Amino acid sequence: MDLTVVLTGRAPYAFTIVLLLIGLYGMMAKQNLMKKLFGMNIFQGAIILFFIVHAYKTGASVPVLDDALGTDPTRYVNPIPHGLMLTAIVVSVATTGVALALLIRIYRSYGTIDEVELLERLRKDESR
Amino acid sequence: MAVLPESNLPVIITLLLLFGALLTIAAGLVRREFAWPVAFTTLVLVLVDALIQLATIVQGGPLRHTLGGWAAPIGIEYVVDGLGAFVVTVIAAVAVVVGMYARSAVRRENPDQEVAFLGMLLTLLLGLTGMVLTGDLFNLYVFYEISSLAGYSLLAVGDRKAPVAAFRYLILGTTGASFYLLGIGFLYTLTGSLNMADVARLVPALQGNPGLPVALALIIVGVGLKMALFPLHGWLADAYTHASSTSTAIVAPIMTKVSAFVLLRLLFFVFGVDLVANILPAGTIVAWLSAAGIVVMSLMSIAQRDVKRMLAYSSVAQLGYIGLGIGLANPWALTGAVLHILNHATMKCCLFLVTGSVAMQTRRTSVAEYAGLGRAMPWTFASFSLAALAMVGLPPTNGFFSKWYLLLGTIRAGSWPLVAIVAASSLLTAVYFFRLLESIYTAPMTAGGDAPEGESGFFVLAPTIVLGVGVIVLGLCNSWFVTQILQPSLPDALRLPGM
Amino acid sequence: MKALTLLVLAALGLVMLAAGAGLPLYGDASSPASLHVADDYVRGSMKDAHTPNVVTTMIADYRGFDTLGETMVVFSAGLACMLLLRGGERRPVPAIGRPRNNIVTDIVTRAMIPVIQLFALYVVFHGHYSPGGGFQGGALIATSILLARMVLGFERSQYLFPQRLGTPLGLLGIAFYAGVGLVALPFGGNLLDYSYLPLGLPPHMLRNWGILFVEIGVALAVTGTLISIFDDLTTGGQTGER
Repeated sequence: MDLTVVLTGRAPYAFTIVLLLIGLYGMMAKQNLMKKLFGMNIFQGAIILFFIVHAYKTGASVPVLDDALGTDPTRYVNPIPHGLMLTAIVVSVATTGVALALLIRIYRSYGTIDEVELLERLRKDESR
Repeated sequence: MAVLPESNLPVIITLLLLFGALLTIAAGLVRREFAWPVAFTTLVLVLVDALIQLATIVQGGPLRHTLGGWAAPIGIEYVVDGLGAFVVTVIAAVAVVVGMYARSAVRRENPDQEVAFLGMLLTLLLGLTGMVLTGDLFNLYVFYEISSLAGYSLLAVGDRKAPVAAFRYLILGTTGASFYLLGIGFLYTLTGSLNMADVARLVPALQGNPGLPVALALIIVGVGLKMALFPLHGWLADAYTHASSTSTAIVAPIMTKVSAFVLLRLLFFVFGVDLVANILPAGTIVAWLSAAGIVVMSLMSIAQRDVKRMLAYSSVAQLGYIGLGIGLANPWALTGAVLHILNHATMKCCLFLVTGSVAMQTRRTSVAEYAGLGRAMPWTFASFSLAALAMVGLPPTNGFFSKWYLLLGTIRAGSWPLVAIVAASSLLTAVYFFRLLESIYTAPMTAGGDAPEGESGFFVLAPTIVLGVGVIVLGLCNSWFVTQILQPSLPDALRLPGM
Repeated sequence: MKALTLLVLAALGLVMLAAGAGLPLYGDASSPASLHVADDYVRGSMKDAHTPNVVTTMIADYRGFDTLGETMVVFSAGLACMLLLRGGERRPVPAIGRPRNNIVTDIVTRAMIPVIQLFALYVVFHGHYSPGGGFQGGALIATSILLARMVLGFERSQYLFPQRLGTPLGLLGIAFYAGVGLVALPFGGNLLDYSYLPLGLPPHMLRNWGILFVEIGVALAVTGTLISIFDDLTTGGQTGER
């Protein structure tokens, strides 16, 4: 199998997987709740990129019909993932908004958004 | 494939909930008191439509609504069969009951946020019913996220710790939703379609492709997280314990069940029974994880001192039954699983309504503090006892019948460890419920907390009693549900013999 | 603990990369995804809706229901901020809402806001012919107001967009979108079928207008909700409605 073909054909997919893992690492390993939120955003970004990567066709143009290119589907990038990801991006923004509201509430109640400190204060709250 | 008849009934449910949410908020912005009547009227209308839809499908077969006039797979379609109509009716019925409860509960527990709360409740139902009704994979994701966002916010309303629990749920829940999205990304890249029936047609040709099992795994993890499939259940206990009583009462009975139903739908109707049960070990893995969940979570329930937390762990265990039934993929187990969706919804809703009314009246929350309350609030605890007996699985309560089908399913599957687990779990459930019931009825009242001033008000008591009685009524009617509604909707390979 | 996390992630990464062998190569125009439904969208966009932008036709017409759901997601986020942050005791306006009191930023902002809004309107209305549409335009209008909030201060930017307008505008946007979709039902059509709009035009032009109407609805909803979220996050419902 031709190595350059494999690399160029699989590299974008591999890149989205790497981003996915970075996002997951952020969510799992970071202590600060805000950093977990960033990790979640990177994670969602990776999935959006996955869809977009698989929409690309070599030599194709933006999916806006142009008289010069006619209606031949192979001349245009696949529009479906692009449309779906518009929705996914909006969902990601909405979730981030709700998460920020929750973080503000947590900060108001406990004065910290660091997970370790938060657990400490929660435990103190319980023993009272 | 036969062309299904078009109907407006499914889409009316969505429209009612959407406009209901908008009108509730608009009315509430004018005057706070106007919000509840608008919300409750919406819920009643939704239940009426759900019942009409169920009756129509039982008599005439599945219905469809092609949105935008574009036939699938170009457009999105709603596809409702008996199973879907059944689950939607359960959602609508629980919603009406909790809606009635919400009138006093929300005003007692978080009055300043009444308008937004009721609007969010309707939004949650919009998301959940949409998940059940839709026949499109990506549309399911959109409704999944609507219900998730509503769930995070509703569960964040409660005591001081509620936002912390809700944040943890948000991170895990969004991860799950994103895994699901990635899973359908794989499926789309491999098949080119997002319509469930279309993908089901194209999947068999993909056998041997390494992307397919990964898509299946991603989707199971994604939906399993929302379903609290063991070991993805970590968010549930804290979230249910710290949320307000209305939030828990609406989320606990239905949200995880809808996810379980979606898992059923995706495994058997999109990937296909053959792939899931015979070719890939997906069914086996789901079954064993659920079984582990049943055992571990039942043991955890016994160890809890807080009643709500005990019920929360118990919920995960009960979801294990449903997961087990789905994973075994044989007719008896599946019938038991689907029947349990209805049964557990009624039982858990009743139990959480009681904990809510007790907390509102007396501020008591632990098993020790519940001592002696049985005499002070007789009707409330009579319903509680009925629901508790149903959870243990004593005939003629509804809980008995779903467990019975499940037991038959494990015997048919020939797996003796699973048979033992299902049987033993009833015993474990009995331990933590009978201990609580004994404390409620025989022990003297303790000094902690306030003394109850007699029974709760009408809006709190009526729903509780309806559910308590319902537990018996549904038990007596269970064979009607099974033969008339459930069996005709299952694929041929999964029907009980003679149906 | 971190070592365990890294191990699990590495294993997951390897599994995912192995699965990649089954997926089509980058840029492959003959992959199943590019041959099935997508073809019909490209071929049908002008014929069915007189709209060159295939993505707009797809999200507003063919898969318009998804977009309605998505608008509901946006609104739920605004509602969530309303539920979680409003009410409770009054708090002082945080630093982000206080005016910068710097004449340079003041004047530049006042000059930029109308330009941004004009561009936003262009994005909404030109969404049929170039990348754009309701979400993008709505976000841009919201941006112009948020700029005012940050530079001019919460109090002084109220004249541009009062806080109490956010939620009602959001409600109006979604109601408009769903309303347009609802028009078809009494005429025997299905929800969101724009060819039943009573405008007396051929079906493909009706869909063109239908797409425009829903994009306007989306723009209103997004504008109202984003501004209301920002206001709730920054002022914590200090002056908001319940």
